[in-house]
Amino acid sequence: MARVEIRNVGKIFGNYKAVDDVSLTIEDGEFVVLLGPSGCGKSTLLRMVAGLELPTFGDIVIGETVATRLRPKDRNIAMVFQNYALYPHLTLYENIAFPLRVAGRRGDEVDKKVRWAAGLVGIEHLLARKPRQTSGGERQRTALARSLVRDPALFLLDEPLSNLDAKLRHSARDELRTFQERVGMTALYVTHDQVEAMGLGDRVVVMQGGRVRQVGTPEEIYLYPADTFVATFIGTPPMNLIDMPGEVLGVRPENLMPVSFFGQESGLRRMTMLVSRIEFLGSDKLIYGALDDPFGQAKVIARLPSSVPADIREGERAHFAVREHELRSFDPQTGLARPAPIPQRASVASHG
Amino acid sequence: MTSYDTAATVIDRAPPRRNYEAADIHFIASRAMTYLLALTACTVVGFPLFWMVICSFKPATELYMSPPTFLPQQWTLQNYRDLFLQTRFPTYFLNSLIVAFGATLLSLLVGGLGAYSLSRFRFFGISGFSTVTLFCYMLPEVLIVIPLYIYVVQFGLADTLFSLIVANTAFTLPLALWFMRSYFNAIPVTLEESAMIDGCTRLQAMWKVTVPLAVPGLVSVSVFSFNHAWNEFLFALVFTSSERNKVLPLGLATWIGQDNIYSWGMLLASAVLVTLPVLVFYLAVQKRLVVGMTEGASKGE
Repeated sequence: MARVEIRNVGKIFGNYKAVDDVSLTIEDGEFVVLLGPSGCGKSTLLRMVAGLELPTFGDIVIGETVATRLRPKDRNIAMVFQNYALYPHLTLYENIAFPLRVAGRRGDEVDKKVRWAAGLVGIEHLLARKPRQTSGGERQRTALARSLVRDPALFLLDEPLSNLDAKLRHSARDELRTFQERVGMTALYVTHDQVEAMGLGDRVVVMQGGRVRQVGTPEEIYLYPADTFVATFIGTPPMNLIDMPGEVLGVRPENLMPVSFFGQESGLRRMTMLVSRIEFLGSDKLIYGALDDPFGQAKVIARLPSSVPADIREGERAHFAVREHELRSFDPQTGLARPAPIPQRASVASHG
Repeated sequence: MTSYDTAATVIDRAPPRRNYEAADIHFIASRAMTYLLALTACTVVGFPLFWMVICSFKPATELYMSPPTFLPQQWTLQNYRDLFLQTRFPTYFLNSLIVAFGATLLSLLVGGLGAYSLSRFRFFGISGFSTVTLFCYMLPEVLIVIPLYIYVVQFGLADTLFSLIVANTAFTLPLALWFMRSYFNAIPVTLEESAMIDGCTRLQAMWKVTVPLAVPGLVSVSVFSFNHAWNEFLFALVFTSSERNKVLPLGLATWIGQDNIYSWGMLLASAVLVTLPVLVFYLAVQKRLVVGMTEGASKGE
């Protein structure tokens, strides 16, 4: 395993800046997730680390080596592709053995390694099959096993769960994380799914428009978003943004609660909402509405646990409140976060 | 009456009438058409082939009998013996094999590598180049034979088998390029990228991953170019002159024209032998060929 450093890397395709001056360090054994909407440059960044694209600017350092111009085969990395890229003409056994055979290993050593890797992901009984005779989950595990046999310095994963159905994705995510902890791998994982990112990452890198908007633990990213983009990109439903004179207020839907919920608590910001719609989602209720002045008719969503008693009806006004320290404030011009009311813990990318 | 009553009566009813597919006029018509087509193929294509084989075993006298006999009254290999002893058939045959295999290998090598480049790399002029190759394929043989002949003479290749190999390759190459390009396009690039990350160079990735997946396409191209080179007449007529370098189509044609006395028995025997390698070749690759024609686009999953 190795430490990876991405130094001021940029990539330009024709006239299009896909990645713009990204710097990032992945510590040895760390699981870092690149998160962002489609076209934000996260996959391009991963491909540059893999050596499949040459960075237009900057350098990539893997371990102690400057790898910018190294061929993929010389980087000692492993990559799991979105479509798994299993070789259709080879059995699962030969797929897993492929990197070893290319490296010139023969006989017992290959067999032992293949069975070890297959055992780790639980596909020993499928080794004689061709990829087309296996399910999506089994293919994904095979791809993982293939990436393991070479003891790579770095794992790159490009949306490896996105082709699985929702149920399988959940268990695969759990397996992947358990597995990562067991192997202690340094991993760079690309996804557009925030649940995956939050669930898997030691740290999450939020990207947009080719730039890094924020780097932090899932908790930091969620609680202290660096700007309005991160605030609205993370969380479902997203953070409510309320335009006020001189600032933009951010309120997480689950922090916006009926006044009665807070009892005698002090340090509250009260808000009156004209409720337009209530959605019952089982464990939660979503309450859609518009805030009265002084919040300028801002449209907001509140999320109430179904267990919280509240007498709220559609078409009527209801009294809500937020704890002052749970309010976030953003600059209306730049969209950047202003220091939060309690000690700032977020690590914000310098070039956000 | 409520809808529940209706539901209850349904249970008592006789089992539902089955809708047989065979009762459908379209089904019968399409079946009939399939069999008719198969019958036509058998008679129009199959019978002359059958007649050719049967007649090659008849003695000369029986060939001219009226009314003709269906099966030979006397089976003989005399025609084949004559063919090998009286003519230079073995030389022609060997020459044809050399030219056909040479052209096929060259088409596969140049066409395969060219198509791979057209499919995988992006650089200036590449799309223009691939369009131009298609235009080349549209030119009839007659039109390019004279310019090619000038080249052949100037390179000192006149009356050599090598000139035929090159000319046949030049003619089949555009199709090989286009066919293989679409075949390579259907194979996901990620497979190669994955192989490269697994430790391969680009060439190794191509050889170990892409080529095995493109085998049906390669087979289709090889059948096409083998067939073309085996049957090709015009280039052979213009480029070669000596007996030593004649290929089968040219050799056979020259006997026919020689003295207006056709030795039908020998011609039929040679026709059988000419057909045989192509037939064997087809049978050998048939399974992969069908896959190549139909499954190209869904490869690589």
